[in-house]
Amino acid sequence: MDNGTSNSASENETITLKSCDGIEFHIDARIANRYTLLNNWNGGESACIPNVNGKVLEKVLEWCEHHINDPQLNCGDDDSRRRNTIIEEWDENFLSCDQDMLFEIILAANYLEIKPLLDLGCKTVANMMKSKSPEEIRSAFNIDNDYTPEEEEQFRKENEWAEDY
Amino acid sequence: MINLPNECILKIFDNFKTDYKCLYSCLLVNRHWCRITVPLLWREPMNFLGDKRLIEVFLLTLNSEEQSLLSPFKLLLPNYSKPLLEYTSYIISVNNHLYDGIENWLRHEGYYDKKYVIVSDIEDAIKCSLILMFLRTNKKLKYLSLNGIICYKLIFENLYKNDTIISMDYHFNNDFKSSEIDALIKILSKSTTLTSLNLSNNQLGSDNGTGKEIVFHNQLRYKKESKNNQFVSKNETEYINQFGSKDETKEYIIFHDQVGSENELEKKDIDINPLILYNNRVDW
Repeated sequence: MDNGTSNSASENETITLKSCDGIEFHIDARIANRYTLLNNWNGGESACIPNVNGKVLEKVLEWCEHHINDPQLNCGDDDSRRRNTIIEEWDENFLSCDQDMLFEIILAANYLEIKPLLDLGCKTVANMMKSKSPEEIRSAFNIDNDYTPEEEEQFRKENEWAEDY
Repeated sequence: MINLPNECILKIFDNFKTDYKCLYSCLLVNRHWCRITVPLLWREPMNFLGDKRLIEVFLLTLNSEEQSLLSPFKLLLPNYSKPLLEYTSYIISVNNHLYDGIENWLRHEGYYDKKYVIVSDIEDAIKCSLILMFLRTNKKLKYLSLNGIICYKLIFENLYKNDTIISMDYHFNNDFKSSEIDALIKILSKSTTLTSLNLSNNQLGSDNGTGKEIVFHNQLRYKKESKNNQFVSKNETEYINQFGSKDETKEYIIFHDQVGSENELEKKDIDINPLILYNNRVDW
């Protein structure tokens, strides 16, 4: 599968990344240079990425390619970017995948230390939780409630002040 | 839901920093999320400390020693079970809203309608017990606002031992007591973390004219922020000069009769910005 080569004029160097299930991606070397972990693996012209399968790596690299010309953010910008809940249209469409894939992308971004993608994924999940009751969140994300009824009631009472703010 | 590591869940919840309602919903989802949410929810409930429901949680967190301060008043404390978690251990800032909260709770419980009780004594006892509880349960407390209770032996002893608070507001109640200043001086002398002290409504020695000095440890660093925060009187510059020449590694603030001019301070090149005094008589 040849997923990666960018069409930009400055692109002239590619490297090969291999997913944990053996799928190869030829990507613009600037992507690898941009993200520390990808860069660290790039000892030569190819690198193996354990823990990330081909399907997820393809999505992650698609995002990296689209954002290849984004300005690099400093550490200080990190916080303000995360607090800003607006998501660009392209990113929104990109993450309109099924929930399992969304979480896989978050996991991969965390593993590969691609912070802007990690923030974006987390922001997307956060937006999905907004204005939902605990029951709605459980049902939306298929989460089991392991509280005993008494325990849940007491937590509810002790923290109910927060509901009004 | 795919199991995300805690760091990722925390990053998701980070987006709700000021959305307490949302954090509250997440807290009630399951035990795992509760453990992650509680430190975020209780970190800085600053403006909500006035909510009597929080005061009830705080009262339920008191240990027997702290409760004993309230026993002379035969208060009807909440009779629910102890909180499931020690929420107060996560709070980094206790501001003046706490005292509003105490008033709100007392009002709700009808104490202001009972003519036979001295409510100010009850308020002080609750303040003391809650502050003691915060100092006991909390290893992260950074900002503390105190309201005229520093002379209580237990409060003083605990503040004297504290090594987390970096900023303290102290509000003098009505008459200035030299014992309050003595207590503050001792705490400041001992503290290696306190870098800011704000005093308000002070009438420091304006009647008796006796100078008091506060000695800051040389670990403290201050920044001059604006002219309006500078304060010194003629007598004070003399004190500063006198003490400053003995040990240049320490900074001194002398305050008593509050009449001063900023030029005198400028000449001495002494930065006393961190000590902010309100309601003083200062000639600019």
